[in-house]
Amino acid sequence: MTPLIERYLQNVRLSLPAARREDIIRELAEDIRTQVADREEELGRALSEDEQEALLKHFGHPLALATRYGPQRHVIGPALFPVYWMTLKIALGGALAVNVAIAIAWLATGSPAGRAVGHLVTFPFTIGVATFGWVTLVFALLDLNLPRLLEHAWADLKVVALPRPEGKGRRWTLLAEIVGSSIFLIWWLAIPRSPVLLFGPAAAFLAPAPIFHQLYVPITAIWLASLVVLWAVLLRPDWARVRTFGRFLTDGLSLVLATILLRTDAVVQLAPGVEATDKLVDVVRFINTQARIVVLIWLLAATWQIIYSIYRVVTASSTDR
Amino acid sequence: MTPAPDAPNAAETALFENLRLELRRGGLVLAVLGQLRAEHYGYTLRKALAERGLPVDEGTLYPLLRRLESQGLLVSEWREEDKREKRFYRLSPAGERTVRLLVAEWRGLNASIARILEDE
Repeated sequence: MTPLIERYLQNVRLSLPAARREDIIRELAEDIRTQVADREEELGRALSEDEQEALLKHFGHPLALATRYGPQRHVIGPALFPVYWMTLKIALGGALAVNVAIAIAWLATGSPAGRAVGHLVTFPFTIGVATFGWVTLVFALLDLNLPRLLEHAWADLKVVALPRPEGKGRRWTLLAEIVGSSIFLIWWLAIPRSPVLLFGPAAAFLAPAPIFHQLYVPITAIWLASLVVLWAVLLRPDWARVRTFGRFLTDGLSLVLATILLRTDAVVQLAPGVEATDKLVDVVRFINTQARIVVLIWLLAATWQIIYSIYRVVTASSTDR
Repeated sequence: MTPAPDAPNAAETALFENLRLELRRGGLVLAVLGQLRAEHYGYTLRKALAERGLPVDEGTLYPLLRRLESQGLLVSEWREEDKREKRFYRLSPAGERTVRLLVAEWRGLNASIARILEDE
């Protein structure tokens, strides 16, 4: 078995149902071995890498091939289900954590305890259901279009450009990132019409500061660009330059945005027409302080990402292929 | 150079391709079941189908074999042949009964469609 064929089979193996994985790979390997032997006997020599490549093309994209071994159609197919389940748990856990934090902030700023408790009690029926719905919808759309996208990508993709066998975690992370980014984008695009998505019930007395409107379009553009880059990384791992350039660009722009935000006094203000009582002013100050901490973490993460990307580019020549 | 007036456009070509695949999918199941009245392993099955004018990609055939097996229409076993382990498939008793019914259905359908197309 040549390294190229081994690599292809390892990539198929990653997405196969665990119970039948070894048996399926054994059968595919046997078929490939027989085909290679037949061709080599015909030609009287070993197959070149291009000829092996052509042979493997008939089997299809590793993920598409593995998907065909799963049970027939579900809302979320077997190839995506594990990452869907993981993303759902993270999204629901994250949403719960944010809402617990909101409830604590209310209590800390003197709101009645009943309000905070009521907010948490209704969480499963409001935000919980919405989170579940959005995650499921995005995954269902992804699952519906994945075979066509993979087939399209597979036409030009070189087997040698497939991720190394140890890259399973990376691919799952990528899929989770794509879904997470898509959900964020839908949420973000809906905010101008429904500020309640940003502030929750506090939208009655809070509004975004002017900096929000100034940066809304650039943030949307950066997020869209990063989503395109993520898709490129997933479908065309051989487009190394596009990937590297795209990541540098989006990380660099994120850094600029985070710096601008850090220099801004306020990202949140009282909604027009709301009386500035001491309590409300305290709430706004508290949120702006928290926002600065978040932006600072974002700035550090973006800086780290750029440093890491540079490190990857520098070390790529010795580790690639 | 302008295309011939009755040449299909891109949308029609894509639609035709979808319909062709749909048409072929049902026929492929019957062809595989029919061919497996005699025992085969994947590679020889594919060759036999191709020799009879029905080439099938490996990526389609192997998952299909597993699906038919899980539906109880095929049985399989690993066995050595030419000093190599291979997975052999053949029809199960349920598969044999189903093939008989499907073949009758296929012939009836084929005859009906032939009559419909002759009427045009």
